[in-house]
Amino acid sequence: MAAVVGPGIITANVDNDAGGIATYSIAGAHFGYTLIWSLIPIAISLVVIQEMCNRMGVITGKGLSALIRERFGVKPIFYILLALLFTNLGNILAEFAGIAASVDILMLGGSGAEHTSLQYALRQFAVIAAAVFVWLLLLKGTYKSVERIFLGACVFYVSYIIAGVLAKPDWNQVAAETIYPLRGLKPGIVPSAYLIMLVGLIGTTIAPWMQFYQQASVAEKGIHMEDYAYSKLDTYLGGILVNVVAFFIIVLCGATLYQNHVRVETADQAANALAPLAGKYCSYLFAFGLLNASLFAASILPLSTSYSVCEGLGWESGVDRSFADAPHFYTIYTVLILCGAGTIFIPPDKLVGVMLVSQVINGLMLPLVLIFMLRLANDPEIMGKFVNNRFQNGICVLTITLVVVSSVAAIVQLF
Amino acid sequence: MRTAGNTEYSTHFFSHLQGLPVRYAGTDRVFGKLTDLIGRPAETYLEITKLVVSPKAGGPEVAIDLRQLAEFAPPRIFLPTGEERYPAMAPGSSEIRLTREILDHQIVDTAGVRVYRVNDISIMLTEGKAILGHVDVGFSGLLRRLGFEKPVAWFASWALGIKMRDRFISWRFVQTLPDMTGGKLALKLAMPFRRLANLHPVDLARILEELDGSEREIFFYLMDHETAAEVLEVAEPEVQRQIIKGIDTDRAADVLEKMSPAEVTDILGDLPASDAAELLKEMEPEAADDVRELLKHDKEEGGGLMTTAFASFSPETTAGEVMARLKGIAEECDVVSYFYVVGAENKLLGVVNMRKLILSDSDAALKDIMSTHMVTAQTDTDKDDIARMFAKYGLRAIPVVNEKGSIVGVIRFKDLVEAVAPELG
Repeated sequence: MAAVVGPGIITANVDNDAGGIATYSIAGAHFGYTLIWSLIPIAISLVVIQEMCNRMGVITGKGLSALIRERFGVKPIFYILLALLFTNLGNILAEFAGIAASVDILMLGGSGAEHTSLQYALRQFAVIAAAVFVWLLLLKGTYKSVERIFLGACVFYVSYIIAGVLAKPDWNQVAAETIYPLRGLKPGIVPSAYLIMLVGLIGTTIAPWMQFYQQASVAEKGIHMEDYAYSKLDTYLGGILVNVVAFFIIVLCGATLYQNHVRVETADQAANALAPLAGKYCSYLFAFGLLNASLFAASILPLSTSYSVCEGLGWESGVDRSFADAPHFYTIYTVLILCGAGTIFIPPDKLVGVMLVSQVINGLMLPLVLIFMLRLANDPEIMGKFVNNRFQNGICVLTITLVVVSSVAAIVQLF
Repeated sequence: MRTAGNTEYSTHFFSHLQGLPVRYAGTDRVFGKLTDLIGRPAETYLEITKLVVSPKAGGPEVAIDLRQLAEFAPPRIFLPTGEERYPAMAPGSSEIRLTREILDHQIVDTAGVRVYRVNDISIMLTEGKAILGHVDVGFSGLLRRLGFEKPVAWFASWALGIKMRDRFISWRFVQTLPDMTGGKLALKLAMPFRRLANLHPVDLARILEELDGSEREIFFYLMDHETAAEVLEVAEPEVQRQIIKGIDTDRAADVLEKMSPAEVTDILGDLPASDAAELLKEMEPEAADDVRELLKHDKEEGGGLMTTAFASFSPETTAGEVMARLKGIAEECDVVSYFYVVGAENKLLGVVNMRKLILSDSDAALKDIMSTHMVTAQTDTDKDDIARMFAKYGLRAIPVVNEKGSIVGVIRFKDLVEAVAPELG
């Protein structure tokens, strides 16, 4: 069983990265518990989609980009990979910014004080150290050891659950507003703002890199159909865990920031704002969770991106190859990390623009990837008797429709 | 049209042929557009036999034999006038469809010993035949498919002074990996695998590691049992495990029988107990028993590192007798540099190394030439202690004895290295 579990849980937890935590915090701070209900359909959709790539990886032994290339030719996969490269770059920038922000909070204790020059140097050092750590992980780690480190990192998400409980939310109210969300909405909340937030939640929880990453790691692990029950369990567990963590972040911010009318726009603002309301430790836990999540995602995203691009374009890849054998693989990986570490030289307000563009590409790309996946997962020549069933197709089509409609709506709102 | 000797020929990229209109001769009426080509493997090339055309009128794709065409001189592709009906593409044909098995798929370059994904295909027209001569695995092929080749090539030479070069692999060196879906594999297995026959097992293992999952299994099926066993011995543990799990139990057992018991033990030790038991049941009883014995021991200790395929003789055996049996020993045993001298109940009395054996008179008894200063390990000796013994005494193999002093196996230096420094293996 241990040989099978991993890809699903790891993918799901990377999903709760710096960007995810920011989105959930804002959802909780601005709309209280009234968006919690959406986590249930999101979880179902996520699980169904991830199970599809999981199954494709097990049956074909190939990553998603190889499969799309072999079936649909080089053009679609080239543009998908180009988009993937951009959105993942945006995510990687966000992860490194998350590392910097969480180190700030842990040092300054949410006091909002200015850095001393020593503290400033420490912060810059932390980001560079993180970049070196991530880079070395690829060069020195083996697949097994890296996977163990990642599974270990998943445990630290419990800090959000503790923080959520520490905030002493009114659980009756949480339950009531989950079931009847409209009753909990404060007067004066704009419906369109509520909808955009909902789109944000879907977009941050179901992201295209997850499909590429999970399918590639399932293929890499060489899981076979006879062990599929465990692999499926791994996927389901991952999908549920990611939403449990999201639930506690929303509850935490709902119980504190929303009740006290504190508006935040980023994860580190949320962490700072928590200190006076829920106590120093709650704020520390939040920042620690952010640090763990950012570092975790920063380790996986460059690797996953580089792997997908090389697989699709036919370049040699893999951690056990030398630089001379797999130059493209190492170049993409290194450049992505360098860009990430470069965030320390960019003022946070400039970063927002980059991330916004990457979010838009993300939203446009997801339905496209899902459509290709749907074609592949329904092709008996590829999947044999393991083609999608009606329920899976239904959920997938529904998700595609919702994402298309909501992305278009969100883009219209933006411009 | 170019000439080589007396023959005229022209070459075309498949990416340029795809999408060309197929017209009726003498008119401009379009029947449909070319979507794919079908080939049949010949001695050193792949002969293109049919075009796959998507009819303009709609309906399923049809296959048109090259000989039926009025003209095939791309971009001019003409059908004889009047002919309207062509057979629909038959799925499951034993011929090779370029987009399904070559273009965008992984192939093995047996000359360079590498795996590539095919970006484009070069088709040569000569003497009324169309031949697949080369596959393009280079960056320019990728750009050509995307429609950027000319602007990028121009920019590269104008701004950077780089002339982009093509990277072709001659079909003679290409090993394709048939599509496993639709139960077609059985037919395709008739395909010659001889292109890979001359490669070193280490190279074959490297290719195996580079391939995607399903191609990996096909590639493994293409090798005979002996080669497969040699390749599997040198492949990475993760790859070993995946292949043994992925292929049929029968075939897996056949391959495992050909491997050293120590290697088999390593592989089976990583599998779930039920899978290992099933494989052992399929193996020859003798080979399976050796492995079962080894599996009882901890992988990190003497018992788990040792092999049971070693040569032992009674003290009275003469050097000449051993020499006469060397060939058999080399075939069956993992350890050929030492010969162990044993008494009743396999009690280890001494050891004779190969040098000593060769230099001794052929009628000398082993008991007179053996060395009794022996370094031995127990089944529960830790791998680090064993490593120290190897380093201290400069040995190639160390015998493992039980509490009664009976020899139960031999640890080779190679197996120790794999256990203490897997990254070097």
